[in-house]
Amino acid sequence: MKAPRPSPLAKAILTDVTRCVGCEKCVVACEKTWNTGDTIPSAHAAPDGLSGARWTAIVKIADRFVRKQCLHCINPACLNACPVHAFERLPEGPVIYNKDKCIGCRYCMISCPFTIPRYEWNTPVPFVRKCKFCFERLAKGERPACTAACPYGATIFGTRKEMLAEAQYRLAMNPRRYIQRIWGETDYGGTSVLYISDVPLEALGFPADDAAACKKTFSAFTWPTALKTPYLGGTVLAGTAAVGWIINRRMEIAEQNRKQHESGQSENRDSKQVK
Amino acid sequence: MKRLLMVKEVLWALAMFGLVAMVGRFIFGLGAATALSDQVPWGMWKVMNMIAGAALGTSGFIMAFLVVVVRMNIFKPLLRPAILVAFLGYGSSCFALLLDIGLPWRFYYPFIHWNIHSFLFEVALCVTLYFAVTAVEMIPIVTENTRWRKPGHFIHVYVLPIAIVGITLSSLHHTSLGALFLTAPERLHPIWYSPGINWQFILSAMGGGLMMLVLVTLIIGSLYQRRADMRRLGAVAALAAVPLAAYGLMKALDLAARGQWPVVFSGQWEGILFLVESFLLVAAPIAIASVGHWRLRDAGLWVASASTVAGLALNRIDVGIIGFFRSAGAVYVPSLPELCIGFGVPAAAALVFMYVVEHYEVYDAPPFLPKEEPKAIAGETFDPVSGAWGSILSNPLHHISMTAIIAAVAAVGIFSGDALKGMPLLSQRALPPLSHDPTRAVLLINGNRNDMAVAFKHDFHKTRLGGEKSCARCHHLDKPGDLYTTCNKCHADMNLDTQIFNHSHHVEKNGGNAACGKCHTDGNEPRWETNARPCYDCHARDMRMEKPAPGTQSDYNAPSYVDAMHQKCIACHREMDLSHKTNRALEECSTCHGDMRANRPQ
Repeated sequence: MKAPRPSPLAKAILTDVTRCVGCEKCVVACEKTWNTGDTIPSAHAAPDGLSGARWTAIVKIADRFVRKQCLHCINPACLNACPVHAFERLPEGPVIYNKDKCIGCRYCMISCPFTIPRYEWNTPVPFVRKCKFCFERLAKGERPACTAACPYGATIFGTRKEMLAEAQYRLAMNPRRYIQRIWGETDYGGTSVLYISDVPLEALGFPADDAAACKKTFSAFTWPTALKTPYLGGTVLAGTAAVGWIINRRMEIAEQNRKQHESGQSENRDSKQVK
Repeated sequence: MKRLLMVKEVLWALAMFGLVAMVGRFIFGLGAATALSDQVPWGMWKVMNMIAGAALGTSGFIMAFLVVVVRMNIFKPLLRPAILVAFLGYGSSCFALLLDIGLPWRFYYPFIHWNIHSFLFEVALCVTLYFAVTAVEMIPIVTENTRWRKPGHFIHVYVLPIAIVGITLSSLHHTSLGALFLTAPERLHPIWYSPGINWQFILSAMGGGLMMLVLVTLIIGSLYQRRADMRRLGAVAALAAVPLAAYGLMKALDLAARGQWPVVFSGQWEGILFLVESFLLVAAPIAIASVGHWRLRDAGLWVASASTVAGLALNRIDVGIIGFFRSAGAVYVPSLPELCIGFGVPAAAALVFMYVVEHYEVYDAPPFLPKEEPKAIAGETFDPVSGAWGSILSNPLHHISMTAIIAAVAAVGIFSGDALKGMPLLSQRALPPLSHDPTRAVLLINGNRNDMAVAFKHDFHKTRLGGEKSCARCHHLDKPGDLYTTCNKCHADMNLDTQIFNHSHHVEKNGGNAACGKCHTDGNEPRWETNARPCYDCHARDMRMEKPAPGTQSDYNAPSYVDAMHQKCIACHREMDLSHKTNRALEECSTCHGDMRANRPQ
């Protein structure tokens, strides 16, 4: 099964960790644009700040402000994992959640290596919540609200090509400042949200540089096993049917032999009597 | 018989607690009823009830294979119990799963929305279909002496293909249950994560399910005072040892291949947990089952079967919940309503199990009935004074009903407290500000001592706002005798409101109940904040505070530290912005929180 590749239409967000001052204007813009709701610290929410009511948050990693949001992977774990296909990947890149299909199993939350999907724990009708890349605004030709709100240009939006080029440019211009890696370029098959940084970003969920997982995509973890499922089922079905038929047949034959033996004996008895 | 009655009462009590908790779960939502969180989203119901429960129901398909396909007559008397265990095991698992998913009324969606990449999709379909198969296999049992025995007989004729379908479905979903965890290589602890986890799951499930059958039979025998056939049960135990040994070998090789044996013995608590789980699930049962005279004795079988069932449940809990703690940075302990449902659902299943065993032919002796028949009281004259209690004490049915009612009422009482009241706010004590230097010109305001502090230029603000006269603008209420009380003394919690008025202290100091009129001067009832004198009236001398406007001070509630800081600072800064027309947006978060140098801890 071929892993999906980014299309020429692909859009991306580039977050430059060295430029973020933690003003949280992106967070406020997202909350206001989509009316995400009240964020209150609770025992059900994680300390990184993301929750059912906050789809992007600033976390501190090694003295730097790092923006955490859904990375809109090119081969997303949530999409592969969801039993009712409630996630969909648009050609431009956004991975969006369809609340009309969700059953609330929370398997997407277990599967995402960046621990992005969050749940609305405190309502009787809960849904999964995460950044949706402002895909409705993209359709109208606008930028995502967060990138439009950032006053320092720490998080910017463009085509994936443009963002990769910009990232490579900055890495080349400041080789001593930046870690020479574009986080999200190939990790897990690539993501639509790219990071460049002067501190390591494994704390977000990125694999370490030389881990084999960096090159693998999500479906590579699961699809080879899934492909074997029909063979497993077919083998068990055929195997048990065969065993059952063979044993049944042998019992029938044994029964016939027994009957023959008995009637043979009674014939002998009969013949004896006739004699 | 008394023991059976007591066991049933305990089970009814558990089931009633579970029922009330279930109502709470539907009214208030998952957050109120469980301790699940964004960091540990799968908990007791999904993992223990559903995944472990399904694993313990495997005896159904194994016995179907051995008796119906391979025709091993030694196991024939155990076929019906195995089917009943599977039917109730899967039924209760699916029920608990319905309670666990956020939108249970959409339970049929996997049938109409497909995702062949998802193992959970495969599990959903397969488990539902297999449950239907076990229900079909139950039909002959419950209809055989009734007027619906024709369909039962019909199913009996086609038992072989039905069994084959059941066996196929079982092998598919047990491997898929393991494969669920293939998506989380970075998050599940490497002791348990393995590319071969699907095979490990089905092997351990097969061993665990067979031992579950042994355990259930021993329990039923003990409760109904029937002697179980040790030879037969010993054979099942010996059989169970085979997949358990295969699982043990496979797991050992898998750990070696991935270089995880050093981790197991490294002293990490996950390693210790894994060794405990392996002892219970593999070492103990195989040891007992291999030694003939242990396997054929009561004690040996009890220990072996109980150990395997416990080990299997522990293994599933380790894989599904505990193995995620380290990467999540959080632990999960089930809440009280969660425990009630988690144990209430199997309790209900056990009650149904006993009902079916008592009224239908499941074990090969004639249907079990308790030795004492419940006494009928219809037709007797009923004296409400002594007759009610008399019947409850002597009539087992009434006795159990009373227990169930008491349990239900107790549950409502317990759960109407805070247990189901919704998402709790995180309580964190607010700590006083620190300073780099003794003059305290700059204070580091960091109430929860994380590494985000605000460097507050105290001296600068004091000078700019008018010196000593301006203190009250921030220190707007001093505690008696504590001049310039720091904010955290009243705004004592980071996220929760706190009460600043200590009523019992004031009552005591003023002379007890005779002193109500000293503060509640207008004599109205009830005596409340709104008809009490303001603090200023008595404390003006020793508290620095602005005199409140008449009628305004009736609220002794101090907002949270976070809210207090934000309101005070941002309100002022907003004013300053407009009046001084400064270039900087002073009310922005980064004004206070954005200085990276200040954010370094002490």
